[in-house]
Formats: sequence, structure tokens, C-alpha cells
Amino acid sequence: SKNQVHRRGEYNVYSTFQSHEPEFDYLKSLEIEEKINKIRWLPQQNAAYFLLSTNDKTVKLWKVSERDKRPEGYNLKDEEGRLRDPATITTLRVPVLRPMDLMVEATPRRVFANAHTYHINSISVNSDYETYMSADDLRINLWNFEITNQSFNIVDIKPANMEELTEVITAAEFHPHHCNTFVYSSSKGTIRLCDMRASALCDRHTKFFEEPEDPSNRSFFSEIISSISDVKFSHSGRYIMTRDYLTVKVWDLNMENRPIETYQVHDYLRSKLCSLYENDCIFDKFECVWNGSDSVIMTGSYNNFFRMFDRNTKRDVTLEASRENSKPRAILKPRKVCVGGKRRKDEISVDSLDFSKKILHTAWHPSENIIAVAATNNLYIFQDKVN
Amino acid sequence: MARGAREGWASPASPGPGGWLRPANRRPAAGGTPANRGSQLGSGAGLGGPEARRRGPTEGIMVGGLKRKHSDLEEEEERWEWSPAGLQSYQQALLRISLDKVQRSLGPRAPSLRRHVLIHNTLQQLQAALRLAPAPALPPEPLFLGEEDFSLSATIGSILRELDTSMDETEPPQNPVAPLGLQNEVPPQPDPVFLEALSSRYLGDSGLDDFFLDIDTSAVEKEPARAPPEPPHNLFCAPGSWEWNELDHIMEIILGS
Repeated sequence: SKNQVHRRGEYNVYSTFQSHEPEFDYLKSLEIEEKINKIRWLPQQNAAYFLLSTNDKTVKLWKVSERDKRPEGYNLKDEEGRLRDPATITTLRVPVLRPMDLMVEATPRRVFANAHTYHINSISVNSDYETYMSADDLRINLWNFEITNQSFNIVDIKPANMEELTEVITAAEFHPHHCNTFVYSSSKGTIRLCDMRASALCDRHTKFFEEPEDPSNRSFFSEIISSISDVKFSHSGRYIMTRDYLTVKVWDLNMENRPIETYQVHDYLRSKLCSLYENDCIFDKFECVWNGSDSVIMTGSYNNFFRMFDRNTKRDVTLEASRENSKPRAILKPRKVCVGGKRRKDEISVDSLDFSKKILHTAWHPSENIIAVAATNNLYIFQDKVN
Repeated sequence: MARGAREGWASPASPGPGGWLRPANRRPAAGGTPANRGSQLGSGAGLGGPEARRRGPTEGIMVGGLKRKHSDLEEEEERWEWSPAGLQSYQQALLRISLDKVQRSLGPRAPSLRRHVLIHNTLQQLQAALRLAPAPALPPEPLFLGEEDFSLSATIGSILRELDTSMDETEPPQNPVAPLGLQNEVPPQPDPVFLEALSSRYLGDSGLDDFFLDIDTSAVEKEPARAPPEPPHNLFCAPGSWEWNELDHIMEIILGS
């Protein structure tokens, strides 16, 4: 409860609810998974929490609220809620609110369905707090929170002939301050910044970010590894960060021809791309996050490793999220992957990495140095050591 | 480039030695043992299924699917001078892996368009590279650059056409392909007979020749064609039409009414 002293960094489960159910589309003979692809919080305006959650096809707005009182003493209903015969009522009373055990309940407030033919990969709440966008592989739709039966299509990259399709939308996000501006990334490693004031259908971008390819690194997998899996504005709104298979890049909005910073997440995988293509790991979609002050960025890797890069000091660290290696209150030991030659005692060789243990989702507290790291079916919460 | 900090990462908010730790919490996380399919590099499925793989001179080293016992092998791979035969073998291996992926991704769940597009683009690159490659000294398989090549075009085109018709409810199928009476009819996604046809075509079965006997090859040069494997199911049919009644009938069976 909110009244208890909050011990920094120590979290407990607050509410658990089923957001989506599996569905079957009979017309197309296709299953629609209940798996949640993205969750986004709305800014808090009252005691309740609101969040958007989406699977491949449907976005839902959930309200999560606490209830610690309940009304008792109805006149027309009995204790079980059954209606009473009015003829039996001889006195009237005023119902009173009595305390009850704290209950956290989640209720679906809006369901935004039937607007996406392809799989939704992103949702993003606009800074006007009235609209949000949902993006699938080929289209981006703009919604008003109050209107569920209608959305505006603002980006459509579907070619007239599907055989000509060579590029899909992979992620999209609104600018944190300018409610008319958003970006979307593609499977070819490009980012487009669009201004909704320019036209109703944002077919033409205002800015186009792409780094020229390094010819010495060209391979059959160049395009696949350039596919951007996540794009995030910095809190300041001045930069965007993108994650592709091997790197994280920071772009200045004022410079379109190349990123201002590139960080290698796990470059030792570059020579293993054929194997990673074969076992499908090359299609894994990693997310990336900024810390509250935009000075540090973080992303996940394999073997339950995750990486942090300090943009100012240019130092980076590899940490591991696993029970064996992190006792409560013990400082995480930096990890190191050995790329060849003699393996030192604490290092792990590339061939020993477990590719089924991937950290795709991470989050950073907006103002504190507390991070959440999802490792398969375990959630780890870490905080920095406070003196 | 990766230089791990020895003392632990110093967070900007708290000047000092810093470091990251997991605060004490009471309840262990819910959930069973993590899924561990033990997927390490090199221990994955063999290439292209159970049939005999093409043997190239470098196959034992460079292709995924084989357990690499020695880290020296990887270094050797990076420095390998690609001979034409070795490169061809590598490309053919990638081709098989790619086609295998396409087959396996057709299932009851809607396929990932992103994955399909990326594999498609990779297939196109491979196709272009194989076309440019000189003929290998040992012909690995007589049909490879011939009929398989043309049917590769058919598959690449048909993959995205399939996705279009199966996933898009608002638009009719584009460019009906075949002159052989397919019209706008495209088999639905999880069609086992279609998969069977696809696999027999690309995995070098002896039934390859028989498969093509039924098809009028004169039309094949210009436009790729496929024999419809089953009574076709038109997913975009008008009420009252033959297809509508067919669909209605199927729905009745599914719903058990």
C-alpha cells in the first residue's frame, strides 16, 4: 500500500490480471496469440493507474485501482445482492462505506480492435495525453483514447503489389514533447521522422536517418542484422536511440547521415551469423532504454547478460541476471566474454553462451537508478549501490 | 571495444564506487524452470532435413549445425579464402536453410511478415549470387541451377502473395499468377498438401520429375506456375457464389452445427 514506507528498489507484485485471450480468426484460419507485445503507461492523473497493453491485433486500455472500502447497508438489496421486495422494507438507512481488505483490481476501460491487418509491434502514448499510436508491419494508426471504433491511418507503406514488399515497420514512438512528431524504424535499418502537421497521411518523412553501409562488413546477413528492433527518444527529445542485432546507436535529430554514437553490444557474434540465422536467433528483437538523465543506455544480450553504456565516460559493463550470480544485496560482478585466445578464469567463451537465455526486455526507472530486467520467465530488479 | 569496468559501473546519481545489486525481497518469482532448449551455437538442427547434404570441401567447418569442438575452427573460418566451390557450397547451404525456414513458418499462427521479408530478401541475394557464380567443377546436383532455380522464383513470389491473401482482409489477392486456371484462388496457409508439394520440390526428392509432368511447361518460362494441390479455397468470395457455399459448408463442419 502507498502508506507504507517504501524501501527503495524492493518491489512486490501489486496486481496480476489476464489482459488478452487467444482468439481464432475463422475467416483466415489463423490463431491470434494472447501474448502481449508491448505495455505503455499513461501519465498518472488520479489515484488509479492506466496502461495500454497490446497483442498482435488488439490494444486495450486498463485501469488498475485500489479498493479498500465497500458500501454496506443497501435498502433495495440484501447482503448477497439479491433484490428485496419493496413491500418488505419498513425502514430506510443510508449506506455507509466500511473498510475492507485492500484489493487491487484491473478493469478494461477501452478495447481498440479491428484496426490492424498485420502484427502490432509498437504502441506509443502522445504527449498530449489524448491520443496514442499503434504500429504494425505496414501501417501506423492514430487513436483517440475516447474513441474505440475509429482510428486514423497516418503511415501506410504497403505496396500495391505485395511481391514488391522489401521493408517493414519495426518500431514507432512519439516525440516526448512535440505531439505532432513521431519516428518509425524499418527492417532495413532506417529511421523516418514524421510531422503530422505536414499532411494527414505521413507518406513523406520530414527526416530520414540512415548510416551508409560499411563495405568491409558486407555479408548475406547485412540486411537482417541492420533491422532495427527498437527505437526510443531520449527524455530530452534531442536524440533517438536504435537497437539493431549487434549494436546500439544514438542519433542526433539534427544529423541524418550517421549516428553520433555506436556501441557494440556483442560484436563477437559477427562471425557466427550463419549459425544464428539457422537457429533463428538472428531474428531476436532486443529493446533498449535510456536512464532518467539520458547519460546511460542499456540493452540485453544472450546468456542472461545485459549491457550498460555510459555516454559520458564511454565506459561499458556487462552484467548477468541469474539467481546463481546475484544473491540479494550482493553487488553484481561484471562479466566478460572471451573472444579467442586464452580464456581467463572468470571469462566465458562465446561457444558456451546459452542462446536460449536472452534478455529482450529491460526498463529503467524514470528518475532513480532502479532497473528491471526480464530473463525468460524471471523478472530481476536491480538498483545501484547507495553509500 | 568492450572494456568491463573492474570495480562495477559508477552510476551518475551516486558518486562513489557504485555497483549494481539486487535488493532483498521476500517472495521468489513465480513460474517454473526456465525453458532451456540448450541452444548453443553449433548444436542446432542439421541442415535442410534428413536428406543427404551437399558435400563441399569446406562444409565440415563453415556451416552451422555442426558441433564446433575447437575454438580454433572459428578463427579459421574467419580467415578462410573462399574458393568458388566452397562459396557455392556455402550459398547452397544458406539457400536450404532459408527455404526450410519458409516452410516451417507456415502454420496455424499468422506468420511474421518481418521475418518473411527478411528471409525473402536474403533469398533474393542468394539467388543473384548463385546466378553469377561460375559452374562448379563437380556438379553437385544436376537439377540445382536449372529447374530449382526457376521454382525458387516461384516460391519467392508466391510467399509474399500468400501472405497478402491470407492476412489482408480488405484487399483482394493481387496479380493472379498462373495461366493454368488458378485465377484468384490461393490455398490457405496451413495446407498440408501445399507444404508437401513445396518440400518435394526443394529438397531434392526423386519425385521432382513426376511433379512437373502435369504442368504445361511452355507457359512456365514466362510466369511461374503451380498445380493447385486441392480444391482451392478462395478467401474473398461473394455471398451466394460457389465459394461462399463451400465456405459456409466448411464453417458448419468446424462449428459442428
